[in-house]
Amino acid sequence: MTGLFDFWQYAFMQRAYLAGLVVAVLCPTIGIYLVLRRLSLIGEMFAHVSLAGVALGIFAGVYPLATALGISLGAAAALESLRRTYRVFTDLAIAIIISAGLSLAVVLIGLSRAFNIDLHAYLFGSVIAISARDLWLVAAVGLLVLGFALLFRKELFFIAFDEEAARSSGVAVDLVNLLFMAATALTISVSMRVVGILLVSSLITVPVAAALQVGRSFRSTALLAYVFAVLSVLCGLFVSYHANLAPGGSIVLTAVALFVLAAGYRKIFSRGGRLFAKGHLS
Amino acid sequence: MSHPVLELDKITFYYGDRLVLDQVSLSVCSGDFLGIVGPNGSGKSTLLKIIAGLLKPAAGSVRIFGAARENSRRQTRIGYVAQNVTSFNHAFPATVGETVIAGLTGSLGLLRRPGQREKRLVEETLAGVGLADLRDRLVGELSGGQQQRVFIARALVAEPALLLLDEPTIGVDVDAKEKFYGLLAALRREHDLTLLMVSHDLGVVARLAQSIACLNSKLYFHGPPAEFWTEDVLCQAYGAAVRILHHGDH
Repeated sequence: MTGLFDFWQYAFMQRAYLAGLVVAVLCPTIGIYLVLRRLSLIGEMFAHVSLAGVALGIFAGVYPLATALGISLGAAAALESLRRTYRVFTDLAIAIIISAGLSLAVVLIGLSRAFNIDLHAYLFGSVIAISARDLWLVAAVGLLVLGFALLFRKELFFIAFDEEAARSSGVAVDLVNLLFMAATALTISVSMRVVGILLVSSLITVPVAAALQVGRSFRSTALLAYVFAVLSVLCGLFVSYHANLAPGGSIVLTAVALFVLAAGYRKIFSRGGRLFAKGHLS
Repeated sequence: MSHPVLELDKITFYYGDRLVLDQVSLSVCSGDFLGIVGPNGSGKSTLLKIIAGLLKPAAGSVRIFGAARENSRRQTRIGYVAQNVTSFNHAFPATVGETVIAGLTGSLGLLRRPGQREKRLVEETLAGVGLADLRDRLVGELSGGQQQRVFIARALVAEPALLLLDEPTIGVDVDAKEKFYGLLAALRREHDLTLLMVSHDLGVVARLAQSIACLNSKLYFHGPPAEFWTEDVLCQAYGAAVRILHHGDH
């Protein structure tokens, strides 16, 4: 039994778990608003843009996470300005930025002939690749994004529910939206270190999707999303260590399994629940 | 009567090249109940959105409580309930209580969180619209009429002096409609509320409102319901629509 938790003696596993937990809290914090505003594709967008940032970092010999952060923030600003100019075509704006990010990444990877271990770790996530520097950056970004989400909780909720009503009642919608986009960019850039670029948007959306199956209020939905995301990261990293699997894949597969369980629970519960509600009311 | 709550001066608005509002001037006094009527596409909703601050007019000015719209810090004294408010994402996981307390977001301002006073306000407002028992239910699971009252409560909780309602009874059954009009009358008695209601239902507006504004790009009439029927404004406003369409076809 003790052998199962041997991994804790390795510094790299400690770092992986700590970074993983921060990411598990950050992803649903941002994800719940993205999903409810039907902007899930934005997670995908920042992931592709981050790839360009990582490629640029490797090409220029700079810390790739830093370039990914920079480029993602630029994309956030670009998206908000595109969104304001072409209100009807938000999805088109996202598609354009995805294309720009991915094509830039492909060109830069080709230029630096950088399809190496390093890039592989960014694409699929890596437990052993998380350095102390990465961990510090993840923690700092984590504090920033969580602080923002706590301070602007009521604004974020109102805008997600009804942007027009929020605006008409005097909420600074444009400011909050801009900050939210920046927070999303930051979250995805640091999360990709753990789950990998290809799967980061899954950790943003899947735990929230699972929570939506069973949540009975915004509050309970948010809490459940945290529970599902943390469980996914803990189980995923555990399995990944013992079975020698890619951590990103293990984490997201756990999240998907939890979603299936939650959806099944809903099916059973809502049938019984309705019966219960009828008897309860009469 | 008392001082004007709202003054519109020569409001003009275009959607692209199409002139939607043509120099509309209107003044509404405190405590008034103004019904805004007009044919489809006559700019009723647009006018309400301009008053709510969601759209900027191409020309003209909006003054609220004597202050210009742009620099009015009293924005939170306006409650606005949009036309399609019940066509929100019904899977959105918000309870009635969570939805109504969101209405205080603007008046609380950034960084301040709702406390005991705000929670009490929510309770009172919910009781006022007859939804006290439904506080913990998900809004998406309520009937259309109940949802309508949730969103009215969300607007009312911030204690607005001016309430803007855009076709509030669309998608609500007849029974709930009558209840809703009863609620409006009660709200006006209990609060010092000025009401602007856009509706396509001339009969209801004439029965309930103290004054009527008939709009079709231009303002054709503004006065008490009795005069609305005697003067031939209906024919003018609605007939003009036909003529404009006709010209547009050439």
